[in-house]
Amino acid sequence: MTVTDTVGGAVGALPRELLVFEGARQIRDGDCVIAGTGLPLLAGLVAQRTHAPSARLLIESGVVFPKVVPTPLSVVDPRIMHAPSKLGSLIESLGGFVQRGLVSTGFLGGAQIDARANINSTWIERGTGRVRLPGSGGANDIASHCATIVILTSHEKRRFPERCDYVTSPGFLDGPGARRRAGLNPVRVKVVTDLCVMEGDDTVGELTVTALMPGATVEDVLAHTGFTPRIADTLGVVAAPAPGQLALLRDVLDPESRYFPERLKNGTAHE
Amino acid sequence: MAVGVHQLLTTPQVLTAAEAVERFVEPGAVLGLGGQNINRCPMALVHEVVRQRIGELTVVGCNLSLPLDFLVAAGLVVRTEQGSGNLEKFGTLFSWRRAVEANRIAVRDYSHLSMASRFLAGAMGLPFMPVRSLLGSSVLDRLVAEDDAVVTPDPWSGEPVVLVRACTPDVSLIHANLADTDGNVVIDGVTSHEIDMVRASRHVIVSVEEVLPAGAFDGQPERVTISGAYVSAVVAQPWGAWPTSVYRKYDYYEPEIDGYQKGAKAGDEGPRAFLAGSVESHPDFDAYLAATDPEGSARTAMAEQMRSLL
Repeated sequence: MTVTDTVGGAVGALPRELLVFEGARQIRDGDCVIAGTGLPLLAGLVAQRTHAPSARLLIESGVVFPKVVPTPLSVVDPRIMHAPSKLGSLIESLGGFVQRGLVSTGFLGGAQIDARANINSTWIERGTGRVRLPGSGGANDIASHCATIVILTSHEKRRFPERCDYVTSPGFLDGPGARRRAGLNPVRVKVVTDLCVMEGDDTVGELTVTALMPGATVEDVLAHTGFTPRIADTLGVVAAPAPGQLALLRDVLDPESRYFPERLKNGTAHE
Repeated sequence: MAVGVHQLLTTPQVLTAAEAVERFVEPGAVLGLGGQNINRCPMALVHEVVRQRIGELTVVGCNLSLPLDFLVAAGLVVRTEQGSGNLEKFGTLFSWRRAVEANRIAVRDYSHLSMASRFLAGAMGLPFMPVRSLLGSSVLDRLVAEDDAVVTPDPWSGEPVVLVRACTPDVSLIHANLADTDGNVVIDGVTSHEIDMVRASRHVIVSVEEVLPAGAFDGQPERVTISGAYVSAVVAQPWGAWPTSVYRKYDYYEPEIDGYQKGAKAGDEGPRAFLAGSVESHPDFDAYLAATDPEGSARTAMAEQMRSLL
């Protein structure tokens, strides 16, 4: 990776930093957002400090509305337990808030995301063997109950199969109406990668490419996706961060680059 | 343990880790593990289970982490039931992963909420709990196939709900900030799945940073997180969660967690060498602490780091 790969000038955002800013844009002011550590939490913090000062964060371990200090490596890190409304329990966060319906937006990751936005974080078939992953954690609960799911991920072909080997967390399941038939409420899904933005809802039941990352092409997306996504008629381009936002992310939210080792490698550590 | 069976309340005892584990952890037990990821894991108590080589365990919990990996690496686990096996930024549970992939241990997956709901059922003497998670997922397919979950209509609305069985550990191990000699426990910070797991368990061993005299909370009983009614044994073990954190006491110690994980990622040899050198070779947890941090400087630094974050 070189500095010229980046967006917004010679010291612009790195590709994974752009995921954070595009992730932040999915949060509206007033939303209640559940996020794990890493890029999702950073997206939530960027949103709170820019366009969504009233957005509230929830952490699955039981931390209700924290004022996060840099830089938590875990959902039970003391840095994520800072100045909250309440330090509760898993059942309070995932039952009392998420299943109860008080959380509008959930951020998730996964080893596989398929054409119908289902997520696998449990088992992957690899040749004759199977690779064991950590499992659901709170992900299934979040995907089952939040109205909007946002996934921030690198764009690799094996990460985007036609169909997940195992559905840990439900997207649109088998297609339009499938969530309803299973007993789940509808969901909107937005997948933000280093190549593009894909989104969908239950009425279509599959992901559509709606925007490209700066410099990426539809051909790049198709070459690195294991299924053939729908392509929107008009494609947007993901915007660079507004002035000052890169400094917010780099100097305030993750000043030691715990989640961006690539910053240190290519010498763009500070704006 | 069956759900809702009459059980006489016992009087909590203050014991050493070795005494408590010998008395309450039996081979073949369903063992509940407290803590989550890098916070308040019952390390001293798990060291003792490894030292006493109590095996054939079924380990249950929500986010199982380092303590499970130690028990798996020691060959003491036959089955796990969990929400996840994970150390987030520090990677997955490598010994557990290899054992599961090789079919050396059986595994039953839940979501965190469905697993926590199983403990809630057990805590209330109910045979099962409904959840609206899991619907439509492969997690549910497997549980239904194993007769561990049932999808049924809500009797009133007709909407589908998932019933998951109560989980009632034979014995649970947790580490907490404080307890008095009557077993009343104070946990600072998040409580993850622990309160319900403890209340669902037949026996409970709580190691704590500090044991206070009986009546210590008489003036402020609302400070008590878990009543001594549920506790079998209290173990005084300062730094008993090390190298994981205890909120308000000390931060997690990254170098030791990282070091273990690097070794565990490379293969089974790393964890075996760690257990031989840092657990089995010591008579107790204090000896491990003295060997791993002879001057106490790492512990002092992590206590200072925690204070700076409060």
